[in-house]
Amino acid sequence: MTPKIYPFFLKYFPSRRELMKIGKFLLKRVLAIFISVIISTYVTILIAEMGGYIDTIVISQLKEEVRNRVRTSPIYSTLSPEEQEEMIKIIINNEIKARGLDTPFYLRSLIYLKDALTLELGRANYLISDQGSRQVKSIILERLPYTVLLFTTATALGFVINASFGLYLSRRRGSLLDKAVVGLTFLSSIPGWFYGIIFIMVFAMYLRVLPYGGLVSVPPPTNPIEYALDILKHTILPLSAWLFSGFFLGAYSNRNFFLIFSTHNYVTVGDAKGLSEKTVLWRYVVRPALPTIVTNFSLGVIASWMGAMVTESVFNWPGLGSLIYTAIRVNDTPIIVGTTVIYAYLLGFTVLILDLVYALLDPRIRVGILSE
Amino acid sequence: MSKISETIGLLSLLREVLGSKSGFTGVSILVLIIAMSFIAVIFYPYSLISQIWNDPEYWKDNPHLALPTWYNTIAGLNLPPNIIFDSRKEDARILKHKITFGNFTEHQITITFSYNYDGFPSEINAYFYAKFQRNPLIQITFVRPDGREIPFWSGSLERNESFVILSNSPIAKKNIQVYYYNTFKSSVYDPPTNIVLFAVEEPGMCDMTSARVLKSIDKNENYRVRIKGIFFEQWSELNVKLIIYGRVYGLLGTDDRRRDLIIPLLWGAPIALSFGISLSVIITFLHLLLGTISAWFGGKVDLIIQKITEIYMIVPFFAVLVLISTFYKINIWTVFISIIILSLFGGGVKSARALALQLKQMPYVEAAIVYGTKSFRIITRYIMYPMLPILIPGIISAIPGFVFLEAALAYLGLGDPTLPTWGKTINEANTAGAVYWLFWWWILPPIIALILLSAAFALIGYSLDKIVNPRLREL
Repeated sequence: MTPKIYPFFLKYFPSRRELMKIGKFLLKRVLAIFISVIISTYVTILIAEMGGYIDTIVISQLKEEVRNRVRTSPIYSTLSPEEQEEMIKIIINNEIKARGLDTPFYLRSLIYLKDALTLELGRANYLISDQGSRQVKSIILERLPYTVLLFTTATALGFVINASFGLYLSRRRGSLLDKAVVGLTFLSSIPGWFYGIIFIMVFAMYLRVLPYGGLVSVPPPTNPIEYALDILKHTILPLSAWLFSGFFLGAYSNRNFFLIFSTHNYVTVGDAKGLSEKTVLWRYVVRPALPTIVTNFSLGVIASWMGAMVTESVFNWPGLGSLIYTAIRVNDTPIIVGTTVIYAYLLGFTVLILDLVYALLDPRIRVGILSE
Repeated sequence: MSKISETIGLLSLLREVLGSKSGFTGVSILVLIIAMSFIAVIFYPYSLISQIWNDPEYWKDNPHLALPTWYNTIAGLNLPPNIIFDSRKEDARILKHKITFGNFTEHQITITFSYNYDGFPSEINAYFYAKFQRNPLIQITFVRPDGREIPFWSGSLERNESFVILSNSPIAKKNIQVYYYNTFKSSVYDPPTNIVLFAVEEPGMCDMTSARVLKSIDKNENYRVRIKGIFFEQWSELNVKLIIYGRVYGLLGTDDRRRDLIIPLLWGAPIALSFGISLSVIITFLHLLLGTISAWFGGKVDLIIQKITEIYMIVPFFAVLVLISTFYKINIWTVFISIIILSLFGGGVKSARALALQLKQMPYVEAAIVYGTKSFRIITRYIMYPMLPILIPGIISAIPGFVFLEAALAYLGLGDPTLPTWGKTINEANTAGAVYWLFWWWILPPIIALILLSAAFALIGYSLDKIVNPRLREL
């Protein structure tokens, strides 16, 4: 059966056969992505537990702690040294059992994996949320909004700015502005956090117009409107550092991207037919480029949810990136694994959605699925 | 594609790169950085640097947080450099006396010098080289151009060679407090002795902002430091090396551990270059190899490589890198290998695979298959080799990314502890508050160096890209 090619919007109801095929395709993808999530989470668990070495550290810390507790406690002071020693052994054994440290590591790593995959993230080893909770979930959920506020905004804004500017340049190729942007592309080889340091030096230290970093001023304003404005003020520097770092290369590659699409013959035909510039732009240039644009954008948004460790550390921003960094520094495995698994799920989910969107947006892929 | 590799020789490629504006700028910056690397390796050999860089003993004679010497010219100031007097050497400014009575010996060393600088010294310390059996007593008195005699420090020597902190010692502070009280009848808390000794006698002399330097204008108006030592043996000896620490030092000044900042600037160059270039080359090559294998063998091999690439996409690269460098204690080569392993199945594999799939269907490859060439030969010679020139711009443009990766790790405090890299200098400057205290000579050079390096490679990569991908030239 030769497949029919349909326009972007589904103007027909797909047959049962076609639905089955799409379903089968999606099922396959779900399976493949889930396996990837499992493997990557397990690898993270292995690295974060140092292949079981962290346990030895925890056990020796435990022994030390118990020994000190027993020696200094008045309850046990009447016991003879031998009895105390006996007591210490019993307590240590109980603690090890209570924490499940007596089962071999490979078995426990699988239990960790199961817990992580079912999002039973458990309690953090050391870190505590601002609310005082030890639940990994609440710690992560507390930091996520700040990261989204900064980095997702940066990604979205950067995407809009770069794409529209790139499109604009592609229509005005060879102009002075175009040449300037092309010539300045090298500025994008410097990462955002590095511009962060420079921006802090210029705007916070030298000009003293914007704060050095952090989320709010100390003490924070009580009026909610002023509070929001204060946060906004603290967002300006990190946000602009990121946008600046991404701008030149972003605009340049978008420009090239749109140029390549506008050198296609059908665009020339569209122009020759006397279609308006707007129609040619949106229907003939942007529309075929849409799948790539959507992919880049959504992957960028997902990546932004991990925050950026270095940028957050430069600006003292209390987001997920700095949470992960602190967790790594104090060996807080549950938080490391928790963030990784959430990220893996989000990414996997996005990839799946993208597959679906591709099947909708890109007729070539749809045909590929249906003709399989 | 194979045509490109034949027609573009290395020399003609270089000529073309130099012909373009961006290429020329990039190459000249790169030449500068390479020159810096050579200077670093020749004048400060690695074996020396790795020994002295973290050794506080080595840097004791340098001023703390000194500005670069050329700052004087720019600012139109005359800030003091380090002034060192060593009584073991012949010096017209140093007079030595020895008086013996009975078993006692009094050694007296008088140092006369003029001080005409616009700033105060930052510190005063001394090394004593003495021979004795019973601990001798030492007294140091400052005689100023205005005739004031200020007892500065007194104490006994414990060892034959000892480094003595003078201006920041409690004894000196107490002496200055007494002097200040006797002169102005008011007490002062924690006086900066290095300033008071060289300040015009007035109530504000204890405050860094209001004190004025007492300059020795005439030849007769000199500063004198009298060092008197009472020894209990006739055969005793006393020599002193007095250091009046300045405010400027060398070409780039010093950091808060008194280290010469020219060293990390110079040494950062070869480290950044070798780290960035080798990582970029190795990783691009591995991507190329994996992509070609994936495309050539197809089937299960292809599937496995693709799946691993997918898994790699989910593992958060930087977080795992930080994890590894925190846990598995770190030198730059562990980081190096971790980066290679972590980016083994990166996005490059996919694009290499796409290119290789195209090449696989070229007639010459089919011909090679027909006359029975081995897979290995086809992969390396027939598919990978023609792809190399297309990859060169990518290799060059990827270099700054790896250099900044090292800088980012170093910024987080995870860098190699023995090597002075640019990122580590920025990290140290930052933790010392260079951004807030305006230690510009400390934090700016590595920042500028990193910017220049990345600009150089980005510019060269860009101009190469235009040469190798002629399609871009049309754009």
